[in-house]
Amino acid sequence: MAGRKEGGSSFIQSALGRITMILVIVVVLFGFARQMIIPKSFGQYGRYRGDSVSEVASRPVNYAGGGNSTCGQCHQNVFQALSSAEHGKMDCQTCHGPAAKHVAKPSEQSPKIEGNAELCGACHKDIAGRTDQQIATVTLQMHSGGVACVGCHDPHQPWAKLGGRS
Amino acid sequence: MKKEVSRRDFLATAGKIVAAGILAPLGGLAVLQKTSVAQEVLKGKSWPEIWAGKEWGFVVDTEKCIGCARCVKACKLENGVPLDKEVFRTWVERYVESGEGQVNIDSPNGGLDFEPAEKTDGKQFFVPKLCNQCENPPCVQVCPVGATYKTGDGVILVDNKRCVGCRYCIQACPYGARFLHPELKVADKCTWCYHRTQKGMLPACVTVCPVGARKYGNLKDPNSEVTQIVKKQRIRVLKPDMGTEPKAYYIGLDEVVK
Amino acid sequence: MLFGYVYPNEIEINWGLFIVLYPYLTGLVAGAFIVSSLYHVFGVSDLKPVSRLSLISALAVLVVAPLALISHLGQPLRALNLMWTPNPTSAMAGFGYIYSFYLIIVVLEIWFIYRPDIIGFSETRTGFAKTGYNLLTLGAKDVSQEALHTDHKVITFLAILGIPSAAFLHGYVGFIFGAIKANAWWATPLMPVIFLLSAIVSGIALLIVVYAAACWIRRKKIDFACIMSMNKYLWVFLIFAFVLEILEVIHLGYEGKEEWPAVRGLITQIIPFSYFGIQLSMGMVVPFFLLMFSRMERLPVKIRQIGTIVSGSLVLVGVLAMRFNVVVGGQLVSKSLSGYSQFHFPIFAEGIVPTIGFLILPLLILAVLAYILPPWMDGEEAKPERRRGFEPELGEPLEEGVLATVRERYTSTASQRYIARTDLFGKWREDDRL
Repeated sequence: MAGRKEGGSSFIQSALGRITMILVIVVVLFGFARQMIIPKSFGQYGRYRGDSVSEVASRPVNYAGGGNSTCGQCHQNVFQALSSAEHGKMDCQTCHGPAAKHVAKPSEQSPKIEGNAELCGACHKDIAGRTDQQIATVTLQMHSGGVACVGCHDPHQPWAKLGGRS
Repeated sequence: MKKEVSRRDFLATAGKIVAAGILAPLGGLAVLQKTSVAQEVLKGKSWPEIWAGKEWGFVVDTEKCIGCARCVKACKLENGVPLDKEVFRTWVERYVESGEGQVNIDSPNGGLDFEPAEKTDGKQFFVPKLCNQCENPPCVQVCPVGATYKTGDGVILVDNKRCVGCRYCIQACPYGARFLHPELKVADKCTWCYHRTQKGMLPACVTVCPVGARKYGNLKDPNSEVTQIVKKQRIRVLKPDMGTEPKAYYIGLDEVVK
Repeated sequence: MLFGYVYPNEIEINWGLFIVLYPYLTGLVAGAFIVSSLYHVFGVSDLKPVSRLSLISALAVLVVAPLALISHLGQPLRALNLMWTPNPTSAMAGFGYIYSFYLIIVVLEIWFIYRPDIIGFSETRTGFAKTGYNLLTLGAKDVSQEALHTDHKVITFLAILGIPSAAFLHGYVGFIFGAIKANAWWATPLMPVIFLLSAIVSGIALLIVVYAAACWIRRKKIDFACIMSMNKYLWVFLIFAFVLEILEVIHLGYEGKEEWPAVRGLITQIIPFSYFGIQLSMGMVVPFFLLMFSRMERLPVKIRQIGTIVSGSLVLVGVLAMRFNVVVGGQLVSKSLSGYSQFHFPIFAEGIVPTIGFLILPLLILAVLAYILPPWMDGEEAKPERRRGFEPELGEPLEEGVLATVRERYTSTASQRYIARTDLFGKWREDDRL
């Protein structure tokens, strides 16, 4: 029995001592790793990575933000026709789609518009929930039999071709 | 064909599990990165300086909304949310009450695919939904790693480089405003287009709304349109009993809307 | 619109089968640990045959539990962010630390309990195994009376510390769900307690089944007192678990608040089979009566054993169904309270196949652990050739209970065995019943 107690009874050689030693090493290593790994800007403004705010804020913009007058700088005629008509308060991009790239490089990127009845129908289709007090609605099939709306209406001045609104 | 995909999914999952077990301890290293501050936005200022005197607010006028869902489409195109996936930063709900008090709610494809449906004698209206940027955001409270947070001007953002994709925030949001981005595999949500508003633009949904049903502005500016509306009109927020104190205010919100 | 309206972002169920598995697995861990504590701390000597088995079962399940969790993450490689930057307000952020703490306690307790065995193996085995056991001793080879006495104190301390830790680890999982005010089916302060009790129930059931299976595989006789003791504890905890689970629903219904119709719809129309059928009837009511019948002394021993084992299996299935009904069920109720999402069981990605894998994996790990660290208390490992290193000590008198605990496992030739155990207050007792 006494033979088992080789090496004396120093704490570090005892079972509890070994375990304590390992735990201390693990905790110290963990604390050290944690210091190394936490991003520098973490906690800058709160319990989050401060740089993340700038990352989110600097994401690319797809819809230009300058309003219709930006478009009007080049497309003067359309801009003028539109601004006095029914759709005058709408942003060009509502129908024409995102145009930030077009504004940046007009000759290289052009917005693509789906000139079909579905586009107009998004607002003007007669569906439950939409009232005539809010907007002029039509049942597409009955109104045009599927013919594209732009055949009769100019979206920029919906009633111009038809001699004004009845 | 389907089987093929499934098997690949399975292998991908198995691979992911094995890789996760081995690499998880190393994963922390991935966040070791250099500080890269976007000077385009900051222009020499610090964020606390930019945030000072700002508290963003949003107003939705349900009486104006015509359910065209241009906002839904613009939002997806602006923020890189896949158009063909059933996840939305903003969506439009339709409420159709039948004469007998029965309410039919739908939002097919987030409102992009509304069918004509039967018109009834009861109330019929649209309600656009988006992140409420709550004063007490449950999503920020529950995020285990500090990957979602409230900025000094009151907008809740997601740090997509720290998010672990546990989806606890999605569970915690009472409004269903959060989702797992199908491609990035991190939590995603409406930021009121923080990347636009910090450059002086309006959120994409506000920009494209043809009827002006969406308004955005600074609640700390007494002259802003949103402050005027909040001060003078009868407004409501969604699920006030949740104690989240939303900062998206609704004009003409019906009591059936949840 | 068969299921009414759900928010568009709710169409996808975000927490699937892996998240069902996690509370199930940690529940088994907590329950198994409580069983070992019943023996080590509360002095239930009938449970001696499973006192070690319960610990290594707990460890085997414990190491698998986070695998299910990590593989569910959208970004598994960032899992350790939970350790680097835990958010103090998050109910989930403590997970990494609580789990690690508990893992350390379980590993340490096992190590201290097995220490004399490991040293014995390191002296009797040869080759690769010898090296392995030598490493496992961590160089602490002192098995003197004082050293073993210290060991025993440490073991008792760890076993006592382990009870609140196990309760915390699993009650905490319940809190993760119970604290979500947005979810009508989850948000209840009872959730941590419900989780804890179902955990204990499932852990005892697991041990009944694993112990019976181990006896069958090893062609050993099942210790009848042991299995009947587990029968008793399973029965008692089953009552508490059932009462609480029912209480929650009754309370919701009696209050009848805004969310009740949605919850009622969930349990009566969406998940009635897995809720009333599996979770409550098959998983609780049937085992309750079966356990009770198995305690009837008129019945033959064989029947009573089978009744208990079948009850254990039913409880295991029932608790799994309970985890499913909570985790997935809660997400089926739309936060709009106007409809229900649908859950489709996927096959591969986070589906049935890997889920079954995660359920089998702990059993494989348990088999390996049981091979390295034999937990059997029926003296098989005490064959003369294996305990050669301890021969010289056999002649010495067993003057202290401390020594007896350890020594008892090496004295198959002794005509009388001693079992040392402590009562709750750490007081030594000697039991010469065997």
